[in-house]
Amino acid sequence: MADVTSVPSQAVRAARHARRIAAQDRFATGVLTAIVGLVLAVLVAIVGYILVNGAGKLFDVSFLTSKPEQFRAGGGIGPELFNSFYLLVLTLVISVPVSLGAAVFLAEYAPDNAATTVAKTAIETLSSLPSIVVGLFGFLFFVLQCGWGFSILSGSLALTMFNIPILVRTIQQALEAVPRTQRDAGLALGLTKWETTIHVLLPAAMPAIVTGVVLSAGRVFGEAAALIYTAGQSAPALDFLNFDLTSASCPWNVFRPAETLAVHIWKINSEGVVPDLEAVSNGTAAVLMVCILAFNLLARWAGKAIARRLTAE
Amino acid sequence: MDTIDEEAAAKVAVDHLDLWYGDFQALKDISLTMPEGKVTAMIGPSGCGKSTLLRTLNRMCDLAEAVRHEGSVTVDGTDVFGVDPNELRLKVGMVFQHPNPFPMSIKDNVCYGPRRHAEVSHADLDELTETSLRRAGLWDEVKDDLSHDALGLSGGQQQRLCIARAIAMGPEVLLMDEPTSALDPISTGMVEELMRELSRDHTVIVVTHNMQQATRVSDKCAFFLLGELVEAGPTPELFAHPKDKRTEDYLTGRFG
Ligand SMILES: Nc1ncnc2c1ncn2[C@@H]1O[C@H](COP(=O)(O)OP(=O)(O)O)[C@@H](O)[C@H]1O
Ligand SMILES: [Mg+2]
Repeated sequence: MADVTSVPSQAVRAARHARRIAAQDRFATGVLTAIVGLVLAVLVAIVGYILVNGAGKLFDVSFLTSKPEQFRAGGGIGPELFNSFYLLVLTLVISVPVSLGAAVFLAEYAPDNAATTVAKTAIETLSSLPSIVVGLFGFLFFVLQCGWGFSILSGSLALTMFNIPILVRTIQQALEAVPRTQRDAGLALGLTKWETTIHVLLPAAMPAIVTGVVLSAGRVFGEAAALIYTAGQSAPALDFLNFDLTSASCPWNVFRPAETLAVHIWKINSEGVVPDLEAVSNGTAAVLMVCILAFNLLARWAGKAIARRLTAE
Repeated sequence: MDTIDEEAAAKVAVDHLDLWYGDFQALKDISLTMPEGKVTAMIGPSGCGKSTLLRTLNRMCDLAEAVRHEGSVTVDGTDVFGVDPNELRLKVGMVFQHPNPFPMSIKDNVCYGPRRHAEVSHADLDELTETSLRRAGLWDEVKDDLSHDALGLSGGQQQRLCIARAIAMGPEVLLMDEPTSALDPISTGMVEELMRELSRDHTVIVVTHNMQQATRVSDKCAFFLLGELVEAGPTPELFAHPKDKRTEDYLTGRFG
């Protein structure tokens, strides 16, 4: 009898073990849920604060379309809004093809040697370069050395430098995540390595690539530091009927200075003198944030839609 | 029991082939012929070089780093190392261990190779899809779902789709690397039956670690051990009267 109570049977030990595991599991789940809850609460607080403060201006059409005022109240952010999108589109037009080429080369063609390692390390390093440093380089090189001044061209090239490393990494990872067996399947059908890359690997990686591009667009759209000394801090009034590409008021002129939304927030808060400064700043922040949220939603939707289209048709 | 007139009907011939991955010799002086219109099985314990040999036949082994070879491999008397690998692969198709359909529709999978290589009309593609799927024994199961995602098929169906994709290219030789090892017994049975049928029009070369499968599907069988070809011959003979002690030990399950 004494033996039976002091030495638990196998079954009893197993049951105790199971209970202990279950308790640990509940504890870990609880802690993790609390952490996620905290992160979410902070996020909701920030987003909510910005949206609530800027709500008045967010749906105000004249705020969204008119030009900023220097000294009076009631200025808008029309040119800044346009500039942000124009810079974004130019940046993507330059950086997506370059990154795609570099990523395909690194993922599929680069020999496994010292030069490739150096290139990969350089890209890693560049992707963690502070954006103000990219901006200063852009100022010294594009603005001064090349003589392009504070301009859309200088700004979008600085943003390109800022964007390429991240895009290359995302695209490269997307390509490398395509299973080996897909490469084998393409090659075994007599496709060349190039055809396999273009017709098998890129389509398979496309959902991840598109998601990566749209997310990077959100980062580019909200970037301020890289633009302050490259695209400049002034927004000439734009005349959408002016197609003289040398005129400062022609929206498409890439040699005109172009303050963006993010730069505008920085500028009015550091040197603005308009009486409704706070309202303008809050409104701009809300507009900027809504755009970036839209990019994020678009990224998820586009990635899924492309994955669906690839598989369904 | 048929004996095979090997020399007369050799479709693929491997002659004194050595192959190295860097310093490691994976194939040692292999000489073997694969008769036309028959199924040749390659058996042996894992790591003995079966896949390596199979992948030299369509030069997929070229893709590995630092591969080097000596000796010759011929298909229809033409040295495979003397022709463009992509052209070789049109003639020598391959099916892999794990089903690897492309993430697209069933029909697009079958038509993928022909579309890339030739201008084919829509009507031709429809016909090609049907004949290839019929010959892979999949037509009746998918004929109403040709536009459905291939990844929605079961593993066994996916593997038969990969067979259809390979035969849609009209290869003369079909290589299969353990094509049933990822499949359930019923699908395995179907694929084994297919191998027999396909050997009427194609020379089939299959790697398997399953000896029963080798006896069921193959006309000729080759036993490998540690990169060497121990012995090869008509399957019934090899299984009934192995000449080498090591073959006998392996077949009777004394090691493996
Ligand atoms: N790409 C490669 N690089 C280096 N060694 C390899 C490579 N592929 C296979 N090997 C080696 O060659 C030997 C034979 O491999 P494999 O042909 O895959 O054998 P099997 O298919 O009979 O299991 C193994 O020892 C394996 O480790
Ligand atoms: Mg193998």
